[in-house]
Amino acid sequence: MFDFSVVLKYSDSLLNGLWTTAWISILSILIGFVLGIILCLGRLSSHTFIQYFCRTYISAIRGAPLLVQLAIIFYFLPYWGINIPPIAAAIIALSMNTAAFQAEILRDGFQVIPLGQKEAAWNYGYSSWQSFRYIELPQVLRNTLPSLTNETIDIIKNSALISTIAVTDLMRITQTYSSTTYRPIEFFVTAGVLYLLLTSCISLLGRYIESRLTTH
Amino acid sequence: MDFSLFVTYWPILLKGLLFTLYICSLGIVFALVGGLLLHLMSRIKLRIISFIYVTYLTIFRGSPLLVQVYLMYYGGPFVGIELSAEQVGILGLGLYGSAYFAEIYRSGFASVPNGQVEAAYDLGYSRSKILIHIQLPQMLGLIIPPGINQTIILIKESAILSIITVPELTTAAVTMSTQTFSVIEPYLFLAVAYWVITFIVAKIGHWCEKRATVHLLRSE
Amino acid sequence: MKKRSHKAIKLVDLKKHYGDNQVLKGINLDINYGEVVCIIGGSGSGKSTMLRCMNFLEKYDGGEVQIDGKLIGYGSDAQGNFQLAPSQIVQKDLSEVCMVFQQFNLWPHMSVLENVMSPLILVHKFSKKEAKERALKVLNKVDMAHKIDAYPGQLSGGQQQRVAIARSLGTEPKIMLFDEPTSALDPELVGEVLKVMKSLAQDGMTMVIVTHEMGFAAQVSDKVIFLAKGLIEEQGDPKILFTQPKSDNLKAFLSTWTERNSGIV
Repeated sequence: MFDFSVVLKYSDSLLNGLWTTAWISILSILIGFVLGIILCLGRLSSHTFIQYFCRTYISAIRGAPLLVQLAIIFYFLPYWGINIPPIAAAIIALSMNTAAFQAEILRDGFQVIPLGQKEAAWNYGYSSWQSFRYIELPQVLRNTLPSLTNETIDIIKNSALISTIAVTDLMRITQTYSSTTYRPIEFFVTAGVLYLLLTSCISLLGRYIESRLTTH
Repeated sequence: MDFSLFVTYWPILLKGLLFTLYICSLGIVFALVGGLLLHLMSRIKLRIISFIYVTYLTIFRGSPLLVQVYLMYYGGPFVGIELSAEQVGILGLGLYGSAYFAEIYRSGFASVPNGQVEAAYDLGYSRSKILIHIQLPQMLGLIIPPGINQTIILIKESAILSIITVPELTTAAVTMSTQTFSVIEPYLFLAVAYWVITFIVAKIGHWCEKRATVHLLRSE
Repeated sequence: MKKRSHKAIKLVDLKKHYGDNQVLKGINLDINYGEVVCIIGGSGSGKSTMLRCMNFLEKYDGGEVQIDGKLIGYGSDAQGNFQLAPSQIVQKDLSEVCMVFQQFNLWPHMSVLENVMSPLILVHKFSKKEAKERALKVLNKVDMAHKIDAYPGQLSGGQQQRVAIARSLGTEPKIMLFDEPTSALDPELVGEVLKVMKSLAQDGMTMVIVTHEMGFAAQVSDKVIFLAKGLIEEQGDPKILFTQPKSDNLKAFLSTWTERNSGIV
């Protein structure tokens, strides 16, 4: 009844799509991480305006579906005369989305570091940058690694939505072939397995790094 | 910005909103019950059972909801399962959510020290009494925050059901957008509407959490 | 030891409050180089706050803290008004002062050796090799050289505190502050930390110690200061202070302590 050989015929295209999904997701996670740190520091800042701005941004992004955010970036920019390719819109939307989630993850991480750790750093003459870079950040990364891994997996899964703005990712290619060949089951099962492979790799990688870091 | 559009379109949007609430409620109840059953099943110490449990979780948590929904909606008819978009929506949210809720239940039960359950057995409590009087009260404070979080995620994910033409909120806004050739108003409305829904759910969750953890404060 | 013209630490009418709560009500105190000073007092007497002011971990509201004759934390501008100095300048002025904390505050993501080396490399610009040499030397002094690759989480409290002392010693401070260094330890681990501190005292280190260990204070210190309700109530030679207390507060404090230690309570 099922004929997966038809999938094999299009395996090159599917792998291309998988590659697009992978690099767009990873790039967005990395950009989102940098933005997330900035947002998190802004959120923890004592400057009232910066704090409120970051808080509003995080709340607004976390409260709305990614699909809506994608549409807003994709439709609004041309409306204002900014024309960018769909891939760029996808990366912008995914990065802006994950930045808000990562900011909250990191904020939890910063808040559980005992005050004494920073006092000790001050005691030995560390500048606030050195204290951030060498004392706080390494601990935050270690403590938040499981959550950051989960966020990466979420972004990979959510990236399936960029197919709606015509990015030829794994989802888009799967949709195309499943409708032209009338073999939706074969193609969507394959897509599911490929996504599963990708997310499992990330999850294993995360666990590997975690075990390396927690040998102590 | 032209807010007069909303004068014409508010009945459509309201209908969409109500449909989102309806489909999410059913989907989430499905997920809550399904997750509990999954968790209870996972407590049976049989290798085949734990294999099924892990496989279910891996598949439903490791692949996009969109893929799962497409498979059910477009693939279903090929194996003789014809479901309406609405049914696929509820089933999709339910199966997907169950995989997450099962783990939330697991961490909740794990948080109650085994010694307490043993002590209750010793005092002659029945299984259900232990569950209701010993385990649940302590678990609630712990499972409500992640439970609410998951509920909010599912509500936001329900927007993708518009892709398979479930007549919910996002579909309504897209209809408004295509008929009026305006993009700003409908999509901004969507962002605000979902934000308000999730905000209200978060507030309710916070209230429940407070109520559920009153006994923890009292003992301090 | 080289004679110095300034006092190691000089407190002039030091004041500090949290909201309505006046914690320090005007403390005057001189500590000479080479002196070991123990600060005792009940909880809430302000002894930890006073110590933390000496290292500017707490900002004070009135009076002065001078380290080696230099005003710490505040400078005068052209009009003669006190102003908060930038933190780099404060830290530079404080480079000869180092605190050992009650909770050790070792950095959990670094090994023992890295904990001791890190400030040497980052702040004192040692090369890696120099830092390692110095670190091994001080770790040897606190008898922790056998644990250099362990992480703080794998050590007992006493061992962690000895590493924390080594971390401070590495930067060669002229003055060491101890904030209840044995209060977080199990009773059987207190001795090993006190032993290290005693050997530092014998080497002529200037030490200010907030402590509940009266026996240790009597044995090691040149001067004991009794703090009550934010003021110095009594100070002097430990032999006299402990055997012939004058104020009622100190008498009460000492008798509670004796009772607790003889198990009468």
